[in-house]
Amino acid sequence: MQKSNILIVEDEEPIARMIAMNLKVAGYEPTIFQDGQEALEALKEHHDYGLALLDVMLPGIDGFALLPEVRQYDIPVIFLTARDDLSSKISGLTGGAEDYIVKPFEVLELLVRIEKVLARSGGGAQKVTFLDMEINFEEHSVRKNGQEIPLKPMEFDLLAVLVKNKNIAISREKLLHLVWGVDFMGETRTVDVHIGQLRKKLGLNSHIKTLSKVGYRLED
Amino acid sequence: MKLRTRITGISCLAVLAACVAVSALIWGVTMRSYQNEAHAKAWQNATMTQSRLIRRMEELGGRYFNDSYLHYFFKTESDGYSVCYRVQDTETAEIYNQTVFQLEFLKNLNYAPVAYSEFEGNFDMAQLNWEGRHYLVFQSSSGWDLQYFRIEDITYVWERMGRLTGILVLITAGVLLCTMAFLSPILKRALKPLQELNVSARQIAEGQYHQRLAVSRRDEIGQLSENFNKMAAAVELRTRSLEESELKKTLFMGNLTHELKTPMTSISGYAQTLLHAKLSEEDQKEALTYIYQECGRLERLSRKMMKLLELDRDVELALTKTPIEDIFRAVERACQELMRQRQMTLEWEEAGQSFFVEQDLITDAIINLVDNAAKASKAGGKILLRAGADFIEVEDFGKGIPKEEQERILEPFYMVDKSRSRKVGGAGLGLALVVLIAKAHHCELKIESEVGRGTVMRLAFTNCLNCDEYSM
Repeated sequence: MQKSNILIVEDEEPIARMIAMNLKVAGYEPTIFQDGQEALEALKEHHDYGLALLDVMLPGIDGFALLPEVRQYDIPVIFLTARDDLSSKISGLTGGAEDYIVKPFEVLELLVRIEKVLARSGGGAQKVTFLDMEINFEEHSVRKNGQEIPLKPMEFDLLAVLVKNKNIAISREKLLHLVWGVDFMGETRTVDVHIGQLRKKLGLNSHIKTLSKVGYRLED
Repeated sequence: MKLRTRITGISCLAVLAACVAVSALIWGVTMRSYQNEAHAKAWQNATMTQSRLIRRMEELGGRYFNDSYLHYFFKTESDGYSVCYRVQDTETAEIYNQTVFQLEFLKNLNYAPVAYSEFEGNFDMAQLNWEGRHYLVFQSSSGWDLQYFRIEDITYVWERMGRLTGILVLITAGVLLCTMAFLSPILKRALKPLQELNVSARQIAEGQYHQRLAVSRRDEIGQLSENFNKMAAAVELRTRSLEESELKKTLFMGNLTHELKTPMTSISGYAQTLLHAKLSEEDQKEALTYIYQECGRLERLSRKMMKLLELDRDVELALTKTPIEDIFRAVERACQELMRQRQMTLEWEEAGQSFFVEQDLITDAIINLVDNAAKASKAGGKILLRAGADFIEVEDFGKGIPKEEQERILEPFYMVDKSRSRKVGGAGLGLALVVLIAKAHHCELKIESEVGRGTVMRLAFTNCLNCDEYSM
């Protein structure tokens, strides 16, 4: 099963294209359907998806009705909807959806949630090759040209977040939140220090870009 | 409950007053007649004794007629109430007196002369109350030297009056009791609807607007109940329409939020993507194009919303006589680009009619109808504008509207085919706008449609103010 294939069923073309654009940049393979019925037909032929993003209000067949059909192929589902009332959320989540995202949403949040769901369903890659590095998430090790580079735990976690969201800029606050956790009361300076360490140890000077007022972006 | 007590009390008081008045009248009349009767009887007794005495004296002719005879005479009369004195010059001698009264006492009573026409005799009469009994005292003023008093006991008059008073009091009390006994259940029955009214009114106040009274009476309470029912119905209707409009508003707001959220999601998403993601130049261009496009959509939405709000204010429009040709030409100009894009043709049929309308608004309405017609039609199709004596209609030969959708399409934000409508730039407000414009013109939007054959949207002018039949 190809985990990086992601199914998008969203009738709003601009939104579907926007999600696809971000997913592609982050290294996923998105497929868009704008009609529930069409998506259902296509699933019968081809259901090699690691995850499905379903809009609730769809022409043809709505997201809630589509959910069991998608679940039948063991594809985890995240709902995307403009309806943020509790009953919709409950019926979505009790129906077997993994997550529920209300529009308008933050793109980075969507990516993080996708990643979490993929990790939960055991679909997260154990090993990733990035440029000349091999990153093993299980062993917490990084090999550059076959030679292991020692990294501190926080440095490794930071690298993992950057690699998983490659080509997407992440603010210092967001990194602090994602790597050090919600409770960490540190300063954004901590992030800068660790980024500096990564650049030095892994020779990523030109790949980790600093975007003023936006954050850091790891580019390949 | 309180009302019942009050009415009963007032009624009883009235009855009591009436009874007392009648009793007093009866009492007075009876008293007088008894008194008259007693006086007459007493007077008669006195006269008879006196006349017997006179006859006796005439028979005897003065012989044996001395004090002892008189004494004997009064004794044989067996009359304990006669008193006789002989008065000679300054001396007085008692002849006969069985009473406790002395001459001086009797002489000094307050006498008044009385005379009854049917009896002979000449007496002065005085009233005397002695030891709780009532007496009449008659004094003979005959020319003789005899001073004759006759005392008559008339206490029985007062005794009778006492009995009468008792009877009258009893009767009054009985009447009062009867009044209460009758009035109470009658009032209870009469006031029962008021109680029901009370209960219903409370229930309505608590929100049970369906509550009605069973009206079976023709009196004021019946009328009140009937009017109460009318009021309850009006309240129910008003409340329901308020609830409905509230629901509509909620639905409208919900839909509006959805309509706003969708383009906002795109705009904010693309902006974030541009800021954060490393995009190819092509992708950047695409993102910017979408942002621009979705901004346009928001702008269209806000423009339509403004128009809806304006029209929703129930303002009377300034209607002017407008030739239909002008309207159709304006529509054609406005729809030229749309028709070209979709390779459709717009045709019209008219016979020089004029309508009293607000030209811009009605043009707007027809443009919206044409817009809808174009969305329902295939590329290369035809849209027909037609004007009649009292209607303007837009006909298309597209896919038609299913029966069950025909009502709902007039609701704001409703779209028969959401994704398709979106692609052609709709927000679902067009028809809602047309309905409001129609309402402002006092005309109706009628839909005739058959799935697969096409749709006729007709603005039917029911009010002749709008039509100009003479210009045909």
